[in-house]
Amino acid sequence: MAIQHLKNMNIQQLLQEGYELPLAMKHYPSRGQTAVQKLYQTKIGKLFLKEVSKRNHEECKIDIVSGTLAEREYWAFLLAQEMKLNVPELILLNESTTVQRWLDYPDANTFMTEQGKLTFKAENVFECALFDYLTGQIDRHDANYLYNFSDKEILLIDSAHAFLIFDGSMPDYLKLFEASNQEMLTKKMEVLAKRMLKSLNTKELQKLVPLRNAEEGKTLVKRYEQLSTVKSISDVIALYRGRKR
Amino acid sequence: MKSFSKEGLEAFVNALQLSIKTKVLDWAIDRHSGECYVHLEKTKTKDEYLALLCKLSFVKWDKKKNLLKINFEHEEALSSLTSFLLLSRLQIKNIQSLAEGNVVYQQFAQQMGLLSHKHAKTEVQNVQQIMDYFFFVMSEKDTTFRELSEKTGLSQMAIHNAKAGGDVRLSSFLKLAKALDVKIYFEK
Repeated sequence: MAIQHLKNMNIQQLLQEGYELPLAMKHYPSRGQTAVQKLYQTKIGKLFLKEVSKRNHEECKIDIVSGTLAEREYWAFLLAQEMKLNVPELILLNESTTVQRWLDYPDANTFMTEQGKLTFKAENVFECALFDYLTGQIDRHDANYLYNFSDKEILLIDSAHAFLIFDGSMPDYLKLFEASNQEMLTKKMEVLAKRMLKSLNTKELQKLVPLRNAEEGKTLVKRYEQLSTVKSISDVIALYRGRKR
Repeated sequence: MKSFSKEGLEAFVNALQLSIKTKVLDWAIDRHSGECYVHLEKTKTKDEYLALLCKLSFVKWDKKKNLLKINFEHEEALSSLTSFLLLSRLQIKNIQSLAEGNVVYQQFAQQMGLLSHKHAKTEVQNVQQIMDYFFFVMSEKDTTFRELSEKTGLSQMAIHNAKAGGDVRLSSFLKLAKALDVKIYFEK
């Protein structure tokens, strides 16, 4: 069956025809960044609605004029899609609300609590790290990525805290990988996400991520240029730590 | 009287709702029998995940009353099923992966008809893994500590210690396996 894309559907109608699953969200309490978060069962599967408030932006020091948290999450999705990363499909309902497909995998925190340590695939970690560095992600803790334990792959979610002028912090999975996969850190890898990034130019990048604050736009381009010579996971880690490679 | 914590029960219902399509309306537990009753919304939508869950031996679905009855003999059964739901979301591929490394989840997968053969095997890595399985079988068979003590000749305290993760003598291990009708195989 062909996949129906959210962008081609009447989302409001889908949500109205579906029903909310408030009990299911008890395992996912909002950590303060989201004013409203609701999970709906709809005829196309589960959809997750997130709405942020002005207060959320103030607390997280996000420049709304440049891009709201919802817009940033949407642009991050577009960029991830461009890099062919496996992320849940997401649409922008209005400037403060996103709706995304819900993926039935535990987040890393749940997996580690209930089952044990994560096993990684280096290529998958490298691709995610390229994306997180490029977007200057500052909030990649262990509940902000899912773990597909069948395929041993991580999937990035909740990428709203992105495209800021200050440096992103090292993602949780990268710290775990660094500690447990020393022998893979310096391995040179040719990955699809890197090739897709290479095929983009800065104009196309700025079109995908139309930040309205010039400084934030410049920072994005700077990070993009820094990634041009990256060949391994240790190269990305070096960028996070501000070391010359 | 079973000692189910309120948090444990709520975590289970929340994990259940996360995994099935049908909406949970209400729930209650009989602390004497360990029977948990979950009232579901009447719906015409096919819920394949609910159907899969109902294949477990301790889960019964009363269609007329829209009532799911889950018999938790021990708190371990409750926490095992909660973890299983949180991890698998009742997705077949997830269930089969979980079954590869965990004997309790293997039982669930087997009852759901998702294992390719009846005598699926698991490589044992540590004592706790064996004990988890023994006490899962114990709850499935509705066996009490007293009964197990009588069958094995081990003291109830020794069985409790084994459950808590203490090291177990090989002779005690074999007595427990025999009493619970668990067969042990070796492979070279």
